[in-house]
Amino acid sequence: MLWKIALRNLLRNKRRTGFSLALVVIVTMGLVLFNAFVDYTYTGLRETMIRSQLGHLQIFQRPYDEVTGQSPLMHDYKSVKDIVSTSEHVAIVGARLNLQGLITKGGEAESISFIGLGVEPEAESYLSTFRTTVEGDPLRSDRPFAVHLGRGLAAQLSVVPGDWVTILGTTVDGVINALDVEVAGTVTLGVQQMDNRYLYMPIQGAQSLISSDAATNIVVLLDKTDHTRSVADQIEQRFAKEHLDLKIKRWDELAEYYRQVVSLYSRIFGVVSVIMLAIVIFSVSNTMSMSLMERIQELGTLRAVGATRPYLMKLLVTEGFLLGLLGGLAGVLVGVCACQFINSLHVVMPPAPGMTRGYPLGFRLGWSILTGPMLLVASTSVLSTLLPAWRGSRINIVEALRYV
Amino acid sequence: MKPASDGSVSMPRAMSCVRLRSVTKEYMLGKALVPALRGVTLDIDRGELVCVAGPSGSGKTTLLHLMGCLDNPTAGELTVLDKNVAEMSDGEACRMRGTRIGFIFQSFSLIEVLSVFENVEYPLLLHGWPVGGRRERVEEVLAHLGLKDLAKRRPTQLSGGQRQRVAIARALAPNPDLILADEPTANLDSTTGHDVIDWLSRLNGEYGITIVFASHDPKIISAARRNINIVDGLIASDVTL
Repeated sequence: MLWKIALRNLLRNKRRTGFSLALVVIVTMGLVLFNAFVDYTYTGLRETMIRSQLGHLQIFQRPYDEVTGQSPLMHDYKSVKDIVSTSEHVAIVGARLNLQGLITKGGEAESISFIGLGVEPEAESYLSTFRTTVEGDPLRSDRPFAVHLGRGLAAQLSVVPGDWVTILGTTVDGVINALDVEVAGTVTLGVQQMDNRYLYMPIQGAQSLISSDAATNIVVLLDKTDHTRSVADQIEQRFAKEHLDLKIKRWDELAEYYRQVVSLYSRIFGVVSVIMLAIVIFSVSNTMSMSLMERIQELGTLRAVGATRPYLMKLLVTEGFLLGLLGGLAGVLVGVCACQFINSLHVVMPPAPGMTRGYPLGFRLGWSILTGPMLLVASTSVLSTLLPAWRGSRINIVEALRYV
Repeated sequence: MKPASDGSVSMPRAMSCVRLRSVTKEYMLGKALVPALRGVTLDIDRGELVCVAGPSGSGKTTLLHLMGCLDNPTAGELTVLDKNVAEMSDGEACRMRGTRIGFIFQSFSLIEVLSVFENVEYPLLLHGWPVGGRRERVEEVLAHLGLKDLAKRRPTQLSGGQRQRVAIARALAPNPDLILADEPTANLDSTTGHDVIDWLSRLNGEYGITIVFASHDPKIISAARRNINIVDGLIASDVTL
C-alpha cells in the first residue's frame, strides 16, 4: 500500500514529476555512458599493456630494486622457464634481455642511442601483439643478428629492411662490443617516442652483444588476466620449493602508466558524478518540496487519522526512492541503447598526443557498470528527499489542517 | 458493548469521555499572542451527542482539536478517554487518534489519490489491522453507509454529500469511542447537511459512540441532545435537551 500510495502521489503532478524523471534519466544515462567508456578504456589499456609489453607476470633475479626496477641478470632462466611453463593457466613464457647502446649505419659517422630488447621471437609474437611490423620480415630465432627497428629510429638512420647497421653495447665485463646486424624490418609501438628509440632482436644476438648467456627477466602470459594473482602465488610457492631466489612482479605492480590513467579517470569520473548528482539533488529536492507544499493539509489529515511521523517520513522517502529508481532504470535502459548504438558505429578517435595511431571509441557494459549508476542515482534521490521528508513529517497538525 | 479494534470485547469503561479543567489555549499570530480558549471547564460523558456551537473564531475548532489529541492545551488539565493529553507522547497520541478517535473535517480531507475503499481502509492500515480483517471491516462500514457501489471511485468523482459520508466511514472504520466532526455540514447544502447529521445521530444511537460536532448552523445545532455554546473562548451556555 505504501508503494502504491507513493507512486500515485508521484503521478499527481505528471508534468513536474516527468521533468524530474527526465533529469534523472539523463544523469543516469550520462553516468552509464561515462562509466562504460572508462571501463572500456581501462580494460583496453590493461590488456594492451599486458600484451604489448608487460605480460601478466615478470620474473626477476633477486635482489630486485623496487625503485629503479633493476635486477641482476638471470643465468639459469631456461630452467626457470621450464618450471613456469608447467604451471596452470600459463599460456606463453618468454625471456627478455634489456640492452642499450648506440646504433649507426655502416659508413656513417653519426650514431644514435637506442633502447634494445633481446627477445624470443616465437614467444614475443604473443607477448608483444601491440607491436606492429610496418615493413620487412618477422624476427626469427635462426637469424639472431637480424633486428627490428622502431619506425622513427629507422627513419633517423635512413635505413630500410635489408640494410646493415652496427650496434655498440657494453659487455657484462664492461668492455665495448660491436655487432653488425641486418635490418629485418621496421615496427611501430603506437608511441612516437618509443618508435624513435627502440630496437628488437633475438635474445641470442643480444646475448652476443653483452657476452653473456643470461636474460634480464622472464615474461609470462596467462590465459586470463583474472588468474594473475592466483598463478603468481602458485609460482612463488614452486620457486620456494626449488629454493630459487626469484622475484615475481604482477602486471599491475609494473604498470605505472596504467595506474596513473586509472587515477586520472577516477578523479574525472568523481567530479563529473558529483556535478551530475548535484543536479539530481536539486531537481528531486525541488520536486519533493513543491509536492509537500501542495499536500500540507493532506499530511495534516494523515497525522490526524493516526499516521506517525516515521510513517510520513517513510512515505515521502519512498516517493523520492521511486523517482530515483524509475529514472535510474529508464536511464540505464537508454544508456545501454546509446552504448550499443555508438559501439555499432565503430568510431575511431584521433591519436592522442604523442601517439601514432587512433583508438576505437568503445563502451564496455557489465552489471557493475549498469547497477552502479542506478543505485547511485536512487540513493541520491533518497538523500535529496530526506530534508523535505523530515520537514513534512514534523508539520504542526493543527496548522496543516488549517492550511489552504 | 461494541468490539474493540482487535476484535475483543472491552469491559465497561468509566463514564467520562472528555474532561477539561480550566483549559486555556493560546496561539502566536505573528508576534501577537491570541487566546483561543480562556479557561474552559467541561465534561462530556461516553455516548453523548454534543454540538459545540458558536460564531466563527469563538474557539470551537480549537476545542475539537484539543479533544482529538491534535494539540496540547497551554494550561489546564485535559483528559480524553481516561488519558491525560499533556502526558501523552507523540506515538501515544497517534495511537489514540488512529484507534479510538475518529475525525470528520469541514473540507472532507479525503486523500485524492486513493479510492473510497482505500480512504476508509487507510487508518486501519496505519494501525496494523490484518488484510482480511481490514477488508471485512471496510466493506461492512461502506455497506452501512450506503457507499458500497462507490468503493472504487476516487473522491473527485463524488458529490459533496458522498464525500462527507466517506469521511464518516473513515472515522467509523477503526471502531472509535469518540468521533469529532468540525463543521461537517459547512460545505454541504441543507438537505445533505441534515443527512450527515442524521448519520452521526445514528452512529451515536446504534453504537453508542460519543459524537462531538461543531457548527454554527442553528438547524444543525438542534439535532444534538446537548448544546455547548462558546463565545470568545469561554463557554457561554451548556444546555442538555
